[in-house]
Amino acid sequence: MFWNDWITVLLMMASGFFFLAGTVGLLRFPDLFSRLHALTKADNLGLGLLVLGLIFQIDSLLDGLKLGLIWAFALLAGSTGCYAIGRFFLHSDQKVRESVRPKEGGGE
Amino acid sequence: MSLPAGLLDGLLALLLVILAVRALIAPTLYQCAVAFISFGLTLSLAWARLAAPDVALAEAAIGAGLLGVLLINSLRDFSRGGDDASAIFGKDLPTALFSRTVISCGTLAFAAVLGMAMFHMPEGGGLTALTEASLPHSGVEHPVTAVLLNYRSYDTWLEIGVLVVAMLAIFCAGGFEGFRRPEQGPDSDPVIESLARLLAPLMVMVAGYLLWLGKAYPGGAFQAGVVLAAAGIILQLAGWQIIENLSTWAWKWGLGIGFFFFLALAVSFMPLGLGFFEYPEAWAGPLILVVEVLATLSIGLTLTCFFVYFNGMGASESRRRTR
Repeated sequence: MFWNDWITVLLMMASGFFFLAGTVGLLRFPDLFSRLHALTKADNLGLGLLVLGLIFQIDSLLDGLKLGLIWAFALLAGSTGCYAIGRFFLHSDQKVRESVRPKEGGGE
Repeated sequence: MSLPAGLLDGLLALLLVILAVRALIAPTLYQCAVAFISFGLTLSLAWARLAAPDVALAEAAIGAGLLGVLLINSLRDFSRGGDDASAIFGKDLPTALFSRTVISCGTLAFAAVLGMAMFHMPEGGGLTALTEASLPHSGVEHPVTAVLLNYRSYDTWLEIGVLVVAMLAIFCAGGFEGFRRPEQGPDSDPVIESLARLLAPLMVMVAGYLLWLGKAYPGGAFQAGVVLAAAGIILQLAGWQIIENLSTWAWKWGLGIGFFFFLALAVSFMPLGLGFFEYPEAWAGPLILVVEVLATLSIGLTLTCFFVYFNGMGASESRRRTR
């Protein structure tokens, strides 16, 4: 294995950690806003580290640019989606708010 | 196949089955829809693993993206009676039992046919050799595009026709009045609107790129059309109302042009002695490009119309309720 493979492995493992932590947070956190936080954290950092790790495996600048674009669009879409969900929740009535609260004794 | 790759494929296959079952038997319709969207995404990954990027692209765009939007949208508008998934089988016990039996038998029969097909795989790679051999005469360089728009263009024409028929069915169900309502739309939001302003032009560019790419690489009219529709839907969500502001003339022609141009092309060379859907070899490339451009426009417009129409119908429904 060359040095770049080792960097990729390290970055991928870090990315995997963030995805795992984000998923656990999404399932276990008590309310919608903290869950959104967990989810977008996984998207931003997890995907970012994944893309960074893959950049050490490519040959051309164009491929790196494409990978970077993927991350940038995921960031944009992720944050906007997070904002839209949060806004809907803030403007929603009591019934909707009750429905996203987890059952007693933790999440599903 | 190496062990990690085999492990990945095994996990994918397992996940597909779990998600498929989940999409059928989840307790609420919303969960069914979410499982179905995840199923579409996983399926597109599976197609990519099977080295079928054309199908993977189409599945990701249509199966996971557009169908998901339509499903969630319809759910919000039409599940007024509650979100209980078992309610769709019928209200009283005999009806529910009957519909469950019919659906189970149908599914079993379908699975049996699929299983039989698996045990009788065509030998010698089917028509691959023939497809490759005729590629220089097809006018394009990508075998999938050659099959879709030259060898079997009849099938593709009918697929575009299905969309036109679906649109007509929607009009029949609700009438034109429910569709043309420019004064109301989703309330616009600065954040979503700025995202739409940024993404929509890029998506139109990507659609054009996919269309052009179809000549030699995976891509083509359906994928490009769906990306175009996604741009339309995002603009619609941002409150732009592009469809409602099109002139009647423009969207009627827009919906039909792909289908009717393809048909006109199919018959226009018959007086010269060529068959139905047969093009002169020298013109095949440019003609296919024109068909694809028009089909992309029609597909994009039709799919955006589906979304807009469901949205409009939901809005008028809720207005009626609040009165």
